[in-house]
Amino acid sequence: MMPKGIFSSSVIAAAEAEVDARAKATVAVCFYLDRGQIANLKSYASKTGMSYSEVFSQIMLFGDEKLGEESRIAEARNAEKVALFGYPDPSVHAAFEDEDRVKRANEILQKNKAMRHDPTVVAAIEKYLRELSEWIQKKTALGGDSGESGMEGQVKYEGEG
Amino acid sequence: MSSPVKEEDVIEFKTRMRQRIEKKITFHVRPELLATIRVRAKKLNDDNMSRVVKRMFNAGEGEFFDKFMADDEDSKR
Repeated sequence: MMPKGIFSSSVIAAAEAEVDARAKATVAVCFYLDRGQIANLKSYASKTGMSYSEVFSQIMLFGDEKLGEESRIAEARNAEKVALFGYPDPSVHAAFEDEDRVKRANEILQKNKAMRHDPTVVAAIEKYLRELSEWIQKKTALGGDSGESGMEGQVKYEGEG
Repeated sequence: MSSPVKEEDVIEFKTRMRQRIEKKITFHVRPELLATIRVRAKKLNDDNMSRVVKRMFNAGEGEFFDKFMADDEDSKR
């Protein structure tokens, strides 16, 4: 409420109406969504009695929260890996994850945390990381072996091919 | 020789394809929500806003559904 006595009641009412209108103001915005998503949106709207825009806004806020949480976890994991391996590139971390090598590297580092300045341990870790690096390079040169069948985007019927 | 295509495979294929076809839709939203989407796009390092919105939609749909179901249960009590 605005302070009384300075402005007339009509001025106060007009100002309050303006504030209310601004609080309720919306903007029209277009996005391309999958048809399945739009169908779900319509279904939620009819079940909840809300408008499409209201349902959309709520889903977006939930999604933002969830993606925010996921990205915080990913950032924390990334930071942990950078601290352990010294590679800032997430694709390298993904390569590490392919094998039990992360586990083995972690074990070496965990066991020797207190001895990190021991030249023998440092040399052993460096050797291990060198091997990992060579393995990653070899893997990249081969174009990866993620197990993808190359069928993405293709439709294969039974008995075909 | 190829075996004949099963009808259920065709139906499933059509359903999948239909789901993957994009459609433009207009929403009336608060400016704050647009700002939230822009911030999320920046964090995801993606300049395609529709792609960001689709990701946010997929991430939030389950939570929305859970909340809707919970509210619905409350209203029945």
